[in-house]
Amino acid sequence: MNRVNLFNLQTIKVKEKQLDITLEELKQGSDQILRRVYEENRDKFLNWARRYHLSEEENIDIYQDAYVIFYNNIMNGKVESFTSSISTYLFGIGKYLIFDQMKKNKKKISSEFDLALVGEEDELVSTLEIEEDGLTPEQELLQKYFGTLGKQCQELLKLFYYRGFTINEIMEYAEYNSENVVKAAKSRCMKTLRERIAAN
Amino acid sequence: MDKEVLLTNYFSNRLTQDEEQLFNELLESDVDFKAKFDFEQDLKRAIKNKENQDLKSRLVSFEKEIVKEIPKSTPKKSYRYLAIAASVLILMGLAWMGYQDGSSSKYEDLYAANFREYPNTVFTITRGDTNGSLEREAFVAYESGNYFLAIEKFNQMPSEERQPYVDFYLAQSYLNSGTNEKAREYFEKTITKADTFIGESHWYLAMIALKEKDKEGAEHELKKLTEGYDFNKEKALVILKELN
Repeated sequence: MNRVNLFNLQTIKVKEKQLDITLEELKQGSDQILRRVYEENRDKFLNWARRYHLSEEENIDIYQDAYVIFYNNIMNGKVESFTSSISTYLFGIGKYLIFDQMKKNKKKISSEFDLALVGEEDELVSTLEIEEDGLTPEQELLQKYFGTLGKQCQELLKLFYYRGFTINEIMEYAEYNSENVVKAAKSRCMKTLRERIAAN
Repeated sequence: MDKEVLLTNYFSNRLTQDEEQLFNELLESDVDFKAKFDFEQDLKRAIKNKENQDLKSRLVSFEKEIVKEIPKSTPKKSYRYLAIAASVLILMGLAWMGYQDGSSSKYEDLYAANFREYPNTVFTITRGDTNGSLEREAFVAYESGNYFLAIEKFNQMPSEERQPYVDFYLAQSYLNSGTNEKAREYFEKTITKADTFIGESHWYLAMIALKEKDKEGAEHELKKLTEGYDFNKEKALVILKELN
């Protein structure tokens, strides 16, 4: 099993800021919204990241990875509401990734890089999940056959395993008639998946 | 307690303290339970990884578009006067052409203002990936703008390996290499056979129609789009208005 890193992200509470992008809009995941968030925070992030003297390519890569992790934590419900601006989340995660990259590059982390974020009052706002990359062969096989399932199965399993919805929440969200219908559909999907893998 | 319920509650983050204890005991003592849990945990990881990869490749394509847009706004100083002179000439030329044929330039303008190459949002190309599949080669070619090679590779894929989105990207490759007829064929195939990229296909069929100054064709596709899909819906409404 892959190691799951639970990383306590220390971050500052930014003064109540009116955000014009809501969590719900982000969860919808349209290209337009995702790109807007990407563009709005990109230059700020890259300017900030340059102080750690990684290459520009690495900084862009890290910005994207930080974005992916942030988004993941929105989708799995770990970020339930914005207690800080989006950029604060991205910086917080980015800092962790930058240090990780520096370690990989075997650069010495000088003590002058304090781990506190930009700002004074630190407050623990969230426990985010940062997962390591790389799948086991079993997981790769699962991923491959998951992709062959029908759209409805993929959606259902995604709601359950990726978003952590309860059976009841899935029933309401995807407009099933009852919890039993959801359970039966889920069992069928899992059965198909097992069969396809067994036939591999 | 039903083991199935325990697993369900675990993945919905709803285990009570007692259930958690029982859950951990079963993981130690019950081989079947452990196997079931491992399977589901692996599936969770696989789905999450897929979602992350999909998002990452979307971000990579945003980045590419942004980088493409940046150089345009900052031409080097030594070329600036030349650029200004060239712009004046082009404007004069355009004005003359507009004078010659006002309506046809409207289509060209609409096309130029609205046509964007569609990024790869479906297939993740991981650095150092050794999987040398045809699909990977096709998308590598597609992302680097080598559309002729992309067409060749997509066409070589055996039909049972072709995900429904392949037709859409094949159509895109034909479109970007200037083969409108073929592009149209595969966009239409996407609309009838696939369950994704349908609104997108209507949009690109409308783009082809604009390019060919086919007002009725463009209107037909844009109406289909606005009636049933969200992709570029607002832009489609604007074009429909402009056309009339």
